[in-house]
Amino acid sequence: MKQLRICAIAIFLILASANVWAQAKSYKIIVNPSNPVSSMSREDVSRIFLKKTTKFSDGRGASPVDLPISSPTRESFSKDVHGKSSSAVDAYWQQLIFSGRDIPPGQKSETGVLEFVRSNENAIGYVSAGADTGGAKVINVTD
Amino acid sequence: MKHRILLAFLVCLGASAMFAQDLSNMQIHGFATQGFLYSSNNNYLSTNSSSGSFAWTDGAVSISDQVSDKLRVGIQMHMYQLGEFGGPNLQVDWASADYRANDKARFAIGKVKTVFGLYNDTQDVDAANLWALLPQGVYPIDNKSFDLAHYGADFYGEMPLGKQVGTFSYRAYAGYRTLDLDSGYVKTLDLLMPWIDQTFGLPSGVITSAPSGSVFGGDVRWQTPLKGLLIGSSATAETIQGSAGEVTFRASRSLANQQYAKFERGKFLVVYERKRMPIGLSFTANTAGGPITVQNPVDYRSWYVMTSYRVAPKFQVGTYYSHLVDAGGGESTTVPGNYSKDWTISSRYDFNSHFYAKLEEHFVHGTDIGFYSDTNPNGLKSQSKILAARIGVTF
Repeated sequence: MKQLRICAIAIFLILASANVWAQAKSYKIIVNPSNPVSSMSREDVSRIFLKKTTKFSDGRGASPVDLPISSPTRESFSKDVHGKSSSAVDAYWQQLIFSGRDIPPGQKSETGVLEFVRSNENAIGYVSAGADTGGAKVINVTD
Repeated sequence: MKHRILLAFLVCLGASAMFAQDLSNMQIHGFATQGFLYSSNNNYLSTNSSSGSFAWTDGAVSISDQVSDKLRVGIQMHMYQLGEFGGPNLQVDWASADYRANDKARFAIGKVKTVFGLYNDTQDVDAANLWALLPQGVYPIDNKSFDLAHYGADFYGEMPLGKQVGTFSYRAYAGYRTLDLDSGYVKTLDLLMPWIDQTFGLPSGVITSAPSGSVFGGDVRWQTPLKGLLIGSSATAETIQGSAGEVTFRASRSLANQQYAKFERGKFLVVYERKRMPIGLSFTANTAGGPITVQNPVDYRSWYVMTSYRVAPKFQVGTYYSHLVDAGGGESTTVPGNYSKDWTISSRYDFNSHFYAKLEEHFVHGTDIGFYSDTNPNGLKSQSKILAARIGVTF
C-alpha cells in the first residue's frame, strides 16, 4: 500500500513537472538579432511589457509588442511573466489609458510580431513555442 | 480662462505632434456604461432611486499619441450623468503632455488626473474593477468631478531597489482645481446657503460661477518584496474660494491624507485604505457692522476593507465594508446624519474582453454621504438597502 502511494505521488509529480515544463515552453520571447541580450529575468521582462521601464538593462531602448488579448499565447505569457491573467493585465492598462498615465504596447498578430522584431532593433515580443523564429533571436527567461 | 488657454495649447501641441509623424503610435480607446439604482427608504445620489432609476450614464473617448520614446500627448473627452450631477455635455477629462526623462524622472503638464490613494485617478474607469460603486466613504461618486483632476504639473517616477527591497514610486503635483457647478460639492453648498444667509440676515443666494482654488500634493508607494503587496500614502493641501449672492466662502483642506495597503496575488485581492479629510469651511458677508464670518468645519474620517476573488475566468465576486464619520463641528458621530456605514456584496461577469455586467447590493446605515435633503423631501431614514447594477463596454 505504501509503495502504491509513493508511486501515485511520483506519477503526480512527474505530471505536474511536465505541465510546468509544458507551460514554460508555450511561448518564446524574441528580440532583434542585433540585440546583445541573451537572457532576462521575468521581472525585467514584465517591467518592459508593462512600460515601467523603456530600456533593456544595457541602456538600449526597448519597444515591446503584444499579441491580442484573445491569444492563448498571451494568456500563458501573462501568467508566467506578470503573474496575472491577461484580463487582469488588461484591467491594469485600462486604468492607465483612461487616467492618461500611459498607453499599452501595440498589438499585432504572431506574424506581425515576428515582422516587427525582425525589422526593429529595439523590439521585444513573444510568440508561440511552435512559431518559426528565423530572423529573430530567442532569449531565455530566468527567475 | 487660464485652463482653457492651457488646454488649447495642449490640443495644438498634440495635433501638431500627430501631424508631424506617421500616427502609427496613436491609440484611440473608449468606454461607456449604463447603471441602474434601486433603493429602499431613501433616494440615493440625487436620483429617484426609490422608484428605480436609470439616470446613471458614463462614457469617454481618449486619443493618445506616443510622439517619441520620451513624449506622449493625449486628451480624453468625458460625459457623465448621475441624477442631477454631470450633464449631457462632453468635458475634457484630462489633456496632458507626458515627458519621460528616464524612469526616475517623468513630468506631466496640463489637466492631469490627481493621484490620491489607490483609486482616485481611476475611479471613473468602471471596466477596470469589480465594483459598481467604490467605497463611498473614501471615493464619493457625487464629488468625483472635483477630486479627479487638476490643472498643473506632476513630477513622478519609480526606483526599483532590487528583489530584496522592492520598488519605490513617488509623485508630487501642484496646480489648481475648479468645482463643477453640477457636482455634489456645489449642491451641498447650495443646500447650506439658505441657513447661512438666514444667519447673516441676507437674501438667499446661489452659486452661479465655478469656485476654484490651488492644490498641492503627493503620493509615495512601496511595492514590497513580498510579491503582490503594495503599501503607500497620499497627502494634499488645497483651498477653494467662491461666492453665493452676497456671501463669499472659502474651504481649505489643510492636509487631507490617505494611507493604503493592497495585496493582490493570482485570483485574490484584499485592500485596506483609510482617509482623513479635515475641511475648514468659512462663510463671510459684509454687513453694515463690518465683515462677519461663520465657521462650518468638517472632519471626514473614513476607511474601508475589501476583498475579491475571481471564481472563474469571466466571473468575480467580492465584498467590502466602508465606514465614514464626520467628526467636525463637535456634533455627535452617532447621529445618522454624521456617519455612513456601508456593507456591500458584489459580482461581475465578463461576456468577453469588451462587454461586462455588474450586480451589487449595499446595506447602508447613516445618511452622511450620498443622500440629499431636497431629493428626500419627506426626511431621511437611517437605513437603506441599495441595488446597483451596471453594464459597460470598452475598447
